[in-house]
Order: sequence, then structure tokens, then C-alpha cells
Amino acid sequence: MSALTEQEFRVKSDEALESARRALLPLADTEGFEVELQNGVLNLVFEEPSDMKFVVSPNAPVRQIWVSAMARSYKLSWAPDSRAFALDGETLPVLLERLARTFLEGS
Amino acid sequence: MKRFAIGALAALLVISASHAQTPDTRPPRPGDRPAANPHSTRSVVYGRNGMIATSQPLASAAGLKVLQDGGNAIDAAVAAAAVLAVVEPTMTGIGGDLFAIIYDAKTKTLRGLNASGRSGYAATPDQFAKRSLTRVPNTGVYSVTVPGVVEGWSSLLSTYGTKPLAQLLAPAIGHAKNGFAVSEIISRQWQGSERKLAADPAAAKTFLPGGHAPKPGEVFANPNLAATLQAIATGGRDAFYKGPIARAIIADMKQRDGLLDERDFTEHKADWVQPISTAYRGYDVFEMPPNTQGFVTLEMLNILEGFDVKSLGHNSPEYLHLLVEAKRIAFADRAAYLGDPDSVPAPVLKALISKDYAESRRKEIDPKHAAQEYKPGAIRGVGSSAPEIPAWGPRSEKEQNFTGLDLGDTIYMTAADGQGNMISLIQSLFADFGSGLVAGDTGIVLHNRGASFNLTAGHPDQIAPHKRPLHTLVPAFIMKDGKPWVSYGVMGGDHQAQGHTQVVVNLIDFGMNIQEAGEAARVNHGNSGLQVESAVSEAARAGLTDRGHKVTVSIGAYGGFQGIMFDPRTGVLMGGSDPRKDGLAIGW
Repeated sequence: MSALTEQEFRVKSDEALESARRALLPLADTEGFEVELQNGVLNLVFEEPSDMKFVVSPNAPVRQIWVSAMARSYKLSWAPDSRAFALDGETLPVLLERLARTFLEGS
Repeated sequence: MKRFAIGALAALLVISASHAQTPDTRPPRPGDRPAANPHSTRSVVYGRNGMIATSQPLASAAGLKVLQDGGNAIDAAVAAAAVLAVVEPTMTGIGGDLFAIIYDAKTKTLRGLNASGRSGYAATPDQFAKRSLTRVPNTGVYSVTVPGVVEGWSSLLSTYGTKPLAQLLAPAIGHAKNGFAVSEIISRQWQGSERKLAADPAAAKTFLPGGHAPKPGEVFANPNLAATLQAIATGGRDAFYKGPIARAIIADMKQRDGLLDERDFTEHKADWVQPISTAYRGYDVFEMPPNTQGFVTLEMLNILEGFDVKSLGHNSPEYLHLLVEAKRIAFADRAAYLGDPDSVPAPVLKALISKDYAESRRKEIDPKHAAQEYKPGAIRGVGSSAPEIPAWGPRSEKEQNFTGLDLGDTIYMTAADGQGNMISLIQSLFADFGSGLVAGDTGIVLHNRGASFNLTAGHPDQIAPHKRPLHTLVPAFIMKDGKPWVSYGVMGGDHQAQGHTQVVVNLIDFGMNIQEAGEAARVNHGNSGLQVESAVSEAARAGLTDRGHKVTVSIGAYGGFQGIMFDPRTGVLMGGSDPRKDGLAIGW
């Protein structure tokens, strides 16, 4: 995972955040939460069922993308085989959609 | 029991007599609170979604913001600890060490992080002999060990954090760069360190703007430290241990004839460990294993458990006498047995915190007389199969304490989130401004933790290459029925173990709330005898003097408490913060 140089990481993490944003937009539209990409950080902002923010940030020194959601952390490393950032086989958009649904269902 | 009842009656008589007959010459006190908790000047802070208690409002505010932005307790703690490393430069900084205990709600486990640094590979006893040093100096270049704080933050986040270090360092960088208003207690301490800072040109340049220490409310900035923290934000922990910061510190050390080199930094790492514990009246009290003095609190509690402390009464002479004697016993053991984790055999540690061992040592206490001295206990596992006192022998009581050396400059803080995670964290430079040295233009004060090594051949804490020194630093935690109850600590060098014990007894035996337990008057035993706060009654002082203790009323020797209590039934978090410090607990 440390095979990426810092420059490569920055390019790939920017792409990953942008594609995660696009992938989440349909769900955000139907469920009524916001997806914002600002200053290199992706935020999922919920008002229902309660105020909640998921924060997705690239962590360049360790070459990981960190997801902060419901006081838990999810640390995604670059998986060269799938050419994506992933944790236990889940890629960033898949993980975010699962976490968002979990939160929306209130479980 | 009857004897104690008479003692309590005598205490009442003395108090009422002094009120009736002599004018009140005590210093002015704050106004009276319309509340039923006599040991505190402020209320417990309640919250359900998160709580943080630190010694600085700026640090508590930074942590609170992280919690409210969806970060967890560990994220909040790192943000606050980084702010403390800027706004309490007397006490802590990235040139120091860190320990933490974390309760992880997901796995329902308690884990400890030992992020203390080691001596240099070059630090052989010969090097000290060669320089005609008969002890490791309290300050200066030979007292410096590898700083562990940055690796500590990084380890906490890589295991439990949800936010990158770069985000969490932002408030600290802002305060260092733009300046912050210096708080009362820190200013006072800073002023006491002027001479020490003036002795090192880099320290004077960084910390004595205009040639003097900042007064309360004066704005102080450390742009060099801001740049160093920014480099860590960008490059992570490697920037500190493998990059330009390590190189700057090493170059500075070499120029001063220091014993740290590149390898000491590149090989440095923090270790996850299992906290040690004892059961005290149905509660499980957790401390950190060696190289910290955590076992001292557990040994003191085990000794006290054999007495009916509750019926003796809070801060009664009978209780305080037992507390002090238990401290003296445990400190004799500390001086004989404590050192690097690898130098304390597991059976020895197990024995020191066992109920059987406490029972045997308890018998040495005379309830009416302070002992002349206590020796370390004989323990199986030290040498041959029979229990024995270690070959390096007992040290005089004076050598058992650090207090006379004024070593105990530390921050303690704790945080909890709405998901049930809690963290108990301590971070320190050891003495005021540590070694007194600032490394080049990094803005970093280097700690003096190596000062707690000794030069006694064969001793577990004898100086040696790549070794961790005996550590006063220790965060604490209490569980009840397998659930987290209290995350707490009391900074203050040798006072830590004594303060922890008093807080636990306040909570469990005397049923105090989290604010009272940390605020109630404390005592501290050290080389200047038994120091007590003015709220310890005259009758209690007389009772202690009668037992042979050298009692003095003084201020500033009782460390600083922060604590968070969790009610598993309601999920409510309760914060308490010591008025002996500048800080506060805050939650929502």
C-alpha cells in the first residue's frame, strides 16, 4: 500500500473522492442528505434522522483515505488489483453507501 | 472504632473553638455555593453526546469542536493534547512523552499505549562515568531521551482515530502561529522558570520574549513550533522521527555532547500494552504497567482495602495516616523494583499488585505511629526461588522521591464520545520546560525524562542503551461490572500515584461526585514531609503530627485532576476539572 508516491496518492485520492461524490448523489437526492466536496474533503451531511456528518479525508502521510462516521473510523488503503481505495474488499463508494443506509435506517 | 469516634469529636471541638474565640485570619474564600457538595467550588458538567476535560479552555474547546464535528473521543483527545503542547509549554510539548488508556466501545476492551521514549544507544553507564557524573543530571543534554508524543498521537489515530492528524493539529498550529493569551497558572510557572530558560540561548529566544516570561493574559506565539507542527501535519510522524525534525534535534544534541543519534529516532515506536488492575471494593481500578508507576496506586489501594476507610472519615488523621504509610511502603517498592518493562519480571509485578502481598505489608503499619522507614518487600522472582529483597538493596527514603526535585510538569486530560469510547491521556516534559533546552530553531523543548534513570549497577532502572526510564506518568481508569465507569488522572510527578489513590477513595469510599473527588483537599508526601492543603482541618494536622509526620500547609503540591464518569444506565457523561489548574470540563 505504501507503493504509491505522495504525488500519486494525491491524484488517486482526489479522483476517488470525486467519483464517490458522484456515486452518492442519487441516494442523497432520494434520502435528502447533502454531499459536499470542499478543499479536498468529502462531507456527507445529514439532518434526518438526526444531525450527523460523515467526513472523508485523504491522509497523505499514511497514503490512506479515512472515513469518520458515527465515531468510528474506516481506513481505506490503495488496492492495486482493483485499482481503488478499499477496506476489507469494500471500495469507498460501496462503504459510504452502506454506512449512509445504516444511519438512515437508524440501526 | 471508639478511638476514631473520639478523634472526630475532638476535630469538631477544635473547629468550633477556633470560630468562637479567634478572629478568622484565613485568606478570603470564594462565595458559598447553594449546593450540597461541600468539597467543590463548581458543578459537575453533564452531557449525553460527548465530554472533554483538560487543564486549558483552549484545549477543551478544540476537543469539543472535534466531537461536535463527528469525531470520536480519540480524535478529540489528540486535537486537545496538541493544543496543550502549545499553550502549556511549561508542562508538555512534542519534545516529551505520552501514555494513554483507551476504552473501545466497539470491542468493549481497554488498552494502554506506552508512547514513552528510550535512552540513546550510546547511553552506556561508561559514558556517564567518563564525564564524572555520579547521577543522571536533572536538566541539560544528558537528561534527554527520545520524545514519544508525536508517535503517540500517530499510534492513537492509526488504531482508533477517524480524522487525519493534519486536521486535528490545525487548532494547535493556529495558536502557535497567531499567538494565544497565557493562562494564570502557566504564567506563574513560566515566571519561575526564567532563570532556567535564560541559561540556554535557544530557549531564551523562544520562551522569554522581551527577556521575561509572559504575564497572565499576555499573548505569546511560537512560530518555529507552528512550522514544526505544520511539517508533522504534512509529513506525519515520519517527519519527526525520520525527517528534517529528527535531523535538527540530533544536530542540536551532538553540538551539546548529547547521546542521541539518528538510529534512536528511526527505531522509535510506541507499544500497545494491557493495563494492570486490582479490584478495590467491587470496582476494577486500571493503571499502566512498567515503566510507569501505575502499580504504586494499586499497591496503595490494596493496602487501604484492609481498613474501614469510610468509617474513619474523609481527611481524618486516622485515614490520612494510613494513606501516607501505604504510600511510603509502595514508594520503597517503586524505588527497588520499577524500571523499563523488560527489567521488571512478570512475577515481580504480579506479586506487587497482589492482595496477599498487600496483606503482608499492611501488617507493618502502626495506626498510631509513622514508621521510621519502610524497606522494599521481599518478593519471589527477584533472584532465586525464595522471596528476597533485591541485591541492589533498599534506597533511603529521600532517594525514593522525586518531589524534592520539582519534577512533575505534565498535562492530564480525558475525553468521551456519545458512542461510549473513552480515553485517559497524559503527556509531559517531566520538569518545568523539561531539560531546559530548545532544539535549534524547531521551537521544541526537549524533555528530561532520562533524569529518572539511576547509575546503580544491576538496578532495573539503571541507565543503559535503548531503555525506557522509570516513569511517573500514568493515566488511570475504573471499570464496574465490566463496564467503563471513570476515566481519570492526576498529573504531578510523584503526586500522581498518591492523587490517584485519594481520588479513588473519594469516589468509592466517600461517595463523592466526579468534581468533588478531584477537588477535595489532598495531601502529598515527599522529601519535605507531609504537605497538606489548608482545608485539611487543624485537628487532622495535629493528629498527623502526633503520629510523627512532619506536617506543613502549602500550595501547589497536589497535581491536577481531570475526570469523566459514565453512567451506563442512562448514558450520561459527567465531567470534573481541577480548580488547581486553568482548565474546564465541557460536554453537550
